[in-house]
Amino acid sequence: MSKKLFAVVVVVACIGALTVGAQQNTGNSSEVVRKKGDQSITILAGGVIPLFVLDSTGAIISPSNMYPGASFDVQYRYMLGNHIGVGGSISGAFVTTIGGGTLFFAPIGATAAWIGGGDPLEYEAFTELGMNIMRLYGNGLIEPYAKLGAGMSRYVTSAWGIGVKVAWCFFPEFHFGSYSNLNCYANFLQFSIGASYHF
Amino acid sequence: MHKATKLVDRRFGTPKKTERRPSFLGGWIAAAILVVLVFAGCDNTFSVFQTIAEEKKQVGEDLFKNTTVRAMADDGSNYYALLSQVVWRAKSGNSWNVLAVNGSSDYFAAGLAGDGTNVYVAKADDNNVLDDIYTTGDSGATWTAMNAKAAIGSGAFVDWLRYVGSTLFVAVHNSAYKYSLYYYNGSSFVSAGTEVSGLATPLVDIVYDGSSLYWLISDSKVYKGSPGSIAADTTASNPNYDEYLLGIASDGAGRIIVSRRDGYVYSYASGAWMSTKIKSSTKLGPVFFLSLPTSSQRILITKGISPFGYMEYDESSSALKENGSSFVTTSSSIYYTTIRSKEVQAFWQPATEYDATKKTLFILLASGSTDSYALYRNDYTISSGSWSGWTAE
Repeated sequence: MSKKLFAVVVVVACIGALTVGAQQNTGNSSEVVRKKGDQSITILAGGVIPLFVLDSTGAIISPSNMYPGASFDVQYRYMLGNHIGVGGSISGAFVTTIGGGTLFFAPIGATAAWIGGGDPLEYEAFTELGMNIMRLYGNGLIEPYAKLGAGMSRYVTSAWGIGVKVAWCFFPEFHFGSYSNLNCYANFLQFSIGASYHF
Repeated sequence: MHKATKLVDRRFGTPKKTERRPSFLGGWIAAAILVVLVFAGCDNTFSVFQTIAEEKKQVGEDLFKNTTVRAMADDGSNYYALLSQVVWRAKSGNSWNVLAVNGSSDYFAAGLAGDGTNVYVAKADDNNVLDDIYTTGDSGATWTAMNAKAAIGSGAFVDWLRYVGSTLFVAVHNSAYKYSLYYYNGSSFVSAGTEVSGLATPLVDIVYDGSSLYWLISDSKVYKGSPGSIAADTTASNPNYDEYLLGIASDGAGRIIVSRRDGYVYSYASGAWMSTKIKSSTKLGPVFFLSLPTSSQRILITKGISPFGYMEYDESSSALKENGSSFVTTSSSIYYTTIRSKEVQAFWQPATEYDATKKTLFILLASGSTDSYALYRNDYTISSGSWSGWTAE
């Protein structure tokens, strides 16, 4: 899929989700009480900004030669209690490079979050750990990754909410043996808007 | 979640706590095996972020986007490149422009060649039918028509134009797809040999061995000889094979190599052919002797299948270098961002260098699927013995 087509799909999906949410707005502002067993699915679209990359010695690789890109996330959450939720996330993202290439990411991970607030505004802090599939010029790597972030959302119906999230993404790559000098530790800032369906 | 929704949830029920939970042990083991297999499948030698860090922004001329560069030539002061027209730039400059041929900038060029002093351009009509071949010895200020159409005949479709050794050749075919080679004998274009006239298979390229013989290949056969008497090569174990021959190169010292679509390169030296399997079942393309640096001479072998680009073959160790890894010409990151996705038409070196401290190598590319450039230059610095890496023209 081309980058332009991917971006169009992301935008259309986001607009669609927000439109459906808006159409179903009941105006009900009763306080939301989360409890164990509540579940939600969130679809997010946004951007990825390269922050900095460290080499195997810890020195910053400057410039990183990467431009901002786009991201798309689907997340599932299961509430373990009133404030703690766990779940999973699958994402697709890309950034372009100064040489005209495109670096694709596909992180798949487990999430944990602390959720506060109520109806209509809810806020959260979350972390995510998993495996990150990266692909560049036909070469692929699968590496661990971590995200740490925060978000805020607003209920627009009893089931739908819309919100924003910001996350710091740590994408390392590890090499073994005599190639350990190729180790790198990349850091990105991800921001996104999206819609959640609670059930 | 809202209270109303909660009521609905309770009405339809939630999973009972007394239900037996499934065992996740098998799932965890499967996941662990998958992770191990995935790690094992990754290339430990390829670094995503260090490859990107080594990239260079390529800024070239827009006229080299979405086009194919089919040939190049030079004279003492200019480079010339064959697109649908001939474009040129001063060797000391950066800007490329369309070359007016015989007073016209509205033409179609079917061939381009040069001997380092004179430049030859085959003009054709919109159907690629030869109009004439023109030559200039003063960088395009004045042109001379060589009356090629009168000698070769009307209705000749131009395939290519080459100046090798000390002879100008033109390969043509007719409407019945019979292929012929002609050369310029100083006053007129005449047949290069009865055995290379009216062939059923396309002519691919011609080179000079540096001493006495011209070597020609069709896509099926090898030919050799002097202009006017070029005939089929009958040496044992030659690379002849129907529709298999794709490229030919000369080191200028008697050695000839021919690439084939089955992944073999044939080498002729001291009166005998030898074959080397470069890469199994891999369609190759044009080949080129890279004599610099002298301590690490290699053969550049282009690929005829995606991903395209080229490989470097180190004859001293019989090692094949791919994807820019261990290339002597460029780094892997520059290779990935310039050449890899495009089909290589040819490598070319000018007859005369503008900068005596350097040797210049050009790579001519097909248009491909991206909007990157079709012509890149690579400068070899003699004092340091290193290549600059590919830079867009």
